Formats: sequence, structure tokens, C-alpha cells
Amino acid sequence: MIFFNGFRGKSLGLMSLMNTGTFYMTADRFWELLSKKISGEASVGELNELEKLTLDKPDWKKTEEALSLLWQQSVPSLHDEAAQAFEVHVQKMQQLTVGFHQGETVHSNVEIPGKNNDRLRARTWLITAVAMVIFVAGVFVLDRKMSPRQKVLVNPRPVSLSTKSGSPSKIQLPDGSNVWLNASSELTYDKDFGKNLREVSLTGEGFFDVVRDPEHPFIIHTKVIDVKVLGTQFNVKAYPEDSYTEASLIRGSLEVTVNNRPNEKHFLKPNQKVSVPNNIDRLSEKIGKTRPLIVAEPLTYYHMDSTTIIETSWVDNKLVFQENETFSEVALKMDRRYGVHIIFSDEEVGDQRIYGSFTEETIDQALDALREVFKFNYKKIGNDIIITQ
Amino acid sequence: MLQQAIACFDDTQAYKQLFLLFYPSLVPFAVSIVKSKELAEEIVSDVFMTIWQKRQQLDKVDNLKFYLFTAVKNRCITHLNDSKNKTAINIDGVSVEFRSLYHDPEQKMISAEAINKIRTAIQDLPPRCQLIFKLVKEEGLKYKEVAELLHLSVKTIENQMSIAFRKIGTAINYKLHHLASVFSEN
Repeated sequence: MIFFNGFRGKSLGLMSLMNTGTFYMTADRFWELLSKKISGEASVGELNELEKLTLDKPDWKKTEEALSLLWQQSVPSLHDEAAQAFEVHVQKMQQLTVGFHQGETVHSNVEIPGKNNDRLRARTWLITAVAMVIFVAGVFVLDRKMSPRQKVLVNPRPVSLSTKSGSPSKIQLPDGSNVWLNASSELTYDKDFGKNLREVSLTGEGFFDVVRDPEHPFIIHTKVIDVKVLGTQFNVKAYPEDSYTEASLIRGSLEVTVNNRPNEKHFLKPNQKVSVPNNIDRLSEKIGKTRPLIVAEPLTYYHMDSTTIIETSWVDNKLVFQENETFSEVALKMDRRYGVHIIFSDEEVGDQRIYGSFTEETIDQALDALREVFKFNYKKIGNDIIITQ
Repeated sequence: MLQQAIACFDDTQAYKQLFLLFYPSLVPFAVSIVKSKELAEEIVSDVFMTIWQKRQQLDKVDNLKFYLFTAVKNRCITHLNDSKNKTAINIDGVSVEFRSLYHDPEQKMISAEAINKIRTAIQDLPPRCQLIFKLVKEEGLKYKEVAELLHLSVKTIENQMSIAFRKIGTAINYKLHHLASVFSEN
């Protein structure tokens, strides 16, 4: 939905709330929200609603904690049974003459001298890949009492999870914390995550819902800032191609330190954010390292609907842009959201300002809505969208 | 990643890992539809055979876990000669086994007694509700995926999940006093 020149339509956010058309008893709503939260299906709005609902109800809070613990219990692997079944399966395949030769790859029949290193590397890569799939598949397949054979899979290298452009996704970390990873982003953590500290590295954007554990602080490293929390909800945006790295706090408390600037430490309160210029090292050279450069600012609420926080709207698959954004800035957000690359062959078009939001729209619908306003033409070549007058 | 290894390198070890990873989840799922362990094992084995035969296309599959569950479901329905019937799958008459409900002595927060209460609470749920809860909890499937697998609406999955949580939550509720004291020691 695009709003232009003060045209006021209905807010999508409010409409979807009203569409449910049902009023729940508080307890019913509690179980519904709780089951969604623990299953990882809750939206940020629902998480906040649950938080409010349980605010003065310690009993409910305890139920939530107990059920979260239950949820985290791993599923013991049935490795031996499955291995037996696999032998039967392989016999069956060989009887049916499905080409399958265990223990060697088909490619390995062709031996090329000097290629051994490559194969070794492919093998290492494969073990990494296997370990990652097991991780992505979730904690539920990992068993504490791993058989020796499975131990081979344990990867000394960090676990890295990444998203392509156009596909945000949700991850649960080993401590039960949830992370929504926006498009074109990467989250990395070591195998010993949670032993002393809970440390992750982030490139791109993530919304974190961190399980409270004061003994194991949770730290997010980005190129220009480190963010430290004990247990809270917040958003970190650190795309290398953006001008700013941002940390936005929804609730709890959060500490931001700027790399190479020891005096630049900020404690955020809920509904605050800091934006740190990505070229801060260059700025530091000019003005020195001691004077703080950054101040905390309030989060921006979408003015058409006072419940949408712009900084975290992407988690609910909303692309919201404010009045003072130019089309070319919006285009950068659309690139990530839709996995496209918008190119302006005419800069004047990109300099025009607009505000609005996209929720369900496809890229074609979004472009058509924008065309209503800006009267441009576009050409699609693969993932490239070229905008002309 | 694993699927790329199979698709690009014809890697039998990766294939074995894939089998070991999903076989224990897929067989009980198939049992709940075809009501026979032997038939279920055969169906899952057939699905894995197709995976190997079509391995070159494997890296085009977006969500391998869901793909496997869907393939198993489809094959089950073919076996039941019921492919035209697109209503909810009948899963009555088969008990759903939960593997993650055990007492872990290292996990001091949930006592053996509480685990028993939880087991009983789950066993009292209707089979369909149990299966939905298992697919979400133990197989890590999304509501949307469970809905598609069982030909139900996402709203139904949401409702069934809140029923399951309510039953389990209520069952362990008296334990909360004990939990409260454990937490306050921190």
C-alpha cells in the first residue's frame, strides 16, 4: 500500500488485527500466544502481547519457563536402529540395481594425480556441510550421548548461518534464543557458544529475542559496534553497503560499544536506538577518539499506524518507509526484500521522496504501485530492474 | 548443504547421513497414516531410493525436510488408494510416540514426576492433536508445513497447538511452586 502526498488510507496493521474478528478470554489467548512463541511461530506483535499479558502474572511466567525448558529437551537419536535400516535399504537398492556403491564416490573411479588435496578439501567441506545441516535441522536431532561415529561430525570451525536476498528466516540458537535473520545476512557462532559467553557475529540484519541468562551475557559483534545484553528483544542492522550500523532496543536493556573507541559506550532504554556511521574510523581520525560521537535516539513509529515500529517492521514481513526517504533508498530495501537489483538509469526518479508500506505485494505489484505515483518505466532483465523515465 | 554433497559429488556418505537423520522421524509419521510398521518402512525406503535416483536435482529442493515428509505422505496416500480424497488424513488408532519426553538428571528444572505428568497429559490428547504437537516439537516443522502435510488449515494447527500447551501447562502447574524456588536461588 502506497501513500502519497498526504493521502490517508486504512492502515494494514490495524485491519489485520480486526480481521480476526474474535475476542478471546485472556487465558485462551495466553495459551495460543505461548504455544506460538515456543514453537517459533509468533510475530513480534504477538511476542509483545504475550509479554504484556504475563507482566503481572508470575505463575504464567513460570509456566512459560517450564514449557520452554521442556521444548528444548533434545530428541535422542535412534542411530543404531537407523543404521540397521540403512543396511537393509542399501541391499534393496543393489537388488534393484540402483547404482549405489557405498564407501566410494562415483567420481573417485577416475583418479587424477595431484587431485588428492582437492578431494580432501571436498571431504572437509562435506563434514562442515553435514554438521551444519544437523545444526540447521535443529537441536532436536542432536543427542548429548552421541555415539563415537557421530562425533566425527562435530565441527571445530564456527557455525555459520546465512540468508540469500529476498529470504529472511528464523533461527533458534542452542540456548533457546530466537533470531530472525533478514535477507542477505550472515550469523556466525563458535561451537562453544554458551559455555562462558554467548557470542555471535553478524553481517546484515537480525532481530534477536534473547533468553535471559545473567551468567552468560549475549554479545553480538559487528564490524563497527559490539552489542551486549543479558536477555531482551532488539534489532541490529549492520549491512556493509549501508551508511549506518544500528542497534534498536524493544525491551530490557542493552549496551553498545563502538569498536576502537573505548569511550563510546551507550546504554539503551526500551524504544531507543543508536546509529553509528560505518565510516566511523575515518571520522575518528578527524575529531579524535575521546569525544563521544553518538547519541541515543527514539525509535521511529510509522505515522500511519502508531503500533508499527519501523526498525523492526521487516520481521513481520512489512516494508515500511517514512516520509523523508527517497525512492532510491526505498529501492535498496526492496532489493533485499525481493531479491532483486533496482538500477536507476535516471537519477531524478530516484531522488523523489515517498512514504508507505508493502506487506503482501509482489515485486510487480509494488513496482506498479510506485509507478502510479512516479510515472516511470521499467525493464526486467533477470534479477535486474532498470528504471527509466 | 548435505543435499548439495549428494547432488554434486554423488556422495554415498552424505546420503547415509541424510538417511540416518530423517529415517527415525519419517517412519513413525508414515505409520500414523498407513497404520503398519512394515509398510511404513518400505515407503520411507522407497522415498529414499527415489532421492538417490534423482540426486542431480536435489540441490533444487528448497526445504529438504519438508520435501521428505511430503514425499512420504504422498506415497502413503497412493498406497491407501486414496489420492483423490483431499480431506484430512485419518490418523486415528495409532499411538504417537514421543522421543523427547524423558527425565534428564542433568536437567534439574523438570523432575521425573513432572515428566510423567506431561506424558499422561499428552496421551490424553486426541491422536490428531498428538501428531501435530509431535511434528512441531520433535520434527521442527512449521505450522504451515504441518497444515499442508495433514490437509488442515493453519488456524487448526494453531488451535490444536494451544490445546496441547494448555493441557501440558496445566498438568505441570502444581510443580511451579517447586520451580519458583529453584529460580529464586539464582
